[in-house]
Amino acid sequence: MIKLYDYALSGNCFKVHLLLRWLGLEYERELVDFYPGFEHRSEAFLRINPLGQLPVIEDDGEIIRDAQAILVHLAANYDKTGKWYPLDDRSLLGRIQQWLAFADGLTGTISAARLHDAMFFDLDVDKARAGAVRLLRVLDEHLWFAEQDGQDWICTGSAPTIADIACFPYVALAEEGGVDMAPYPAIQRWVDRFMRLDGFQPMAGMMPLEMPAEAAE
Amino acid sequence: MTADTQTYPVALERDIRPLSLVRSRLEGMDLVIWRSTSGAIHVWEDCCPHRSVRLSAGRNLGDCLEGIYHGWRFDEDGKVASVPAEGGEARPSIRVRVLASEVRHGVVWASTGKKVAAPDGFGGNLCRPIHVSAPAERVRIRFGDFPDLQLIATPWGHDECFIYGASGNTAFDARSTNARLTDLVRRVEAGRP
Repeated sequence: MIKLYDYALSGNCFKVHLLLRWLGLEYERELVDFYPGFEHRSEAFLRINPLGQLPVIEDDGEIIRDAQAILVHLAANYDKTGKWYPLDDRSLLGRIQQWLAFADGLTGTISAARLHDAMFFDLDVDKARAGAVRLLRVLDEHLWFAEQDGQDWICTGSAPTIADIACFPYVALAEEGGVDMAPYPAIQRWVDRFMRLDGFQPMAGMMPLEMPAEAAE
Repeated sequence: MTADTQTYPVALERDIRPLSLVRSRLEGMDLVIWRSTSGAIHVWEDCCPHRSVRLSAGRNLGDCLEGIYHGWRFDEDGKVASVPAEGGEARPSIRVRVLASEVRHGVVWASTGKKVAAPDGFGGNLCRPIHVSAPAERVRIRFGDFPDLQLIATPWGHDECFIYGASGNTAFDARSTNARLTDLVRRVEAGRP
């Protein structure tokens, strides 16, 4: 059974929860007390992931760190529909990778601001928020033009991919880091669509309301 | 062209999708914009009359907007249609603040004053609206650089605004125009000429 090293308030761990549920996979959670225990910096955990970060999974004896890498591993090995990470569409893989890397940037900016505001981490929050604004503008512009082309998701296609899963949590939690989301209405519409996906469940800090399904356009 | 009136664009009509809520701002007031099942678009102050929670955090149920905190439901006219904690009864004397608004040239216009009056000459192909972290006045003085576009800077607050643009030019290309305007935003925010 897949084991997930997990922390309930981690947006990166939440990405893995989402995909595991959507793939219908059973898994066990090994809870790591990120805050206030800083257990991810303990010697025991550093032996599992020398970078001292969550999430990590253990699958069939293999340890894989990094939320985006875990999404790729799970989708490539377990997705029977082939839509979360379309291995047969080579034109799409580079694009998905582009946005997985972008998601990592969201962690370094939005998540940092959130750690400062919500968990009292000592870091340069102004720099984190400025970095977040830079990235959110890029994402909002991308999604606005995608909408004009009749697309609902980050990458072209009728279904979301792991690019959407990777970018979603910290965008949805941005206001916990003091990032104003009012300037990005295209992002908000994408967040709404994502939250309406069958089987979506929010984590703490996300809007819990069940949204009525959007009518077909 | 600049707008000297109190009427400003607050959203593109096409971006107000059914069953969703759009946030905007005008002269320091947070706005929530939504389309009801009747097709009408509503522009309200984004503030619940109950506990001042953002209405935009709630949900658009089609015929009403439901607040997130206590589930108060507001009908199209902004009146309280139902309060769950009080047996679902209406409280028609409690209202949200409804802004004067109209949809014209594919744009949602609003005013914090008594009347809305969208200008005549704005229309055609619409640009992507762009946020600027700078006062509207500092943006407007650059509009002469774009003789092919009609541009309006909606003042969001003291230090931020939103650029709305239109072009009657048949050769209009949305992406290249967006790139030109994004350049303008970068220069204005950096304080560069």
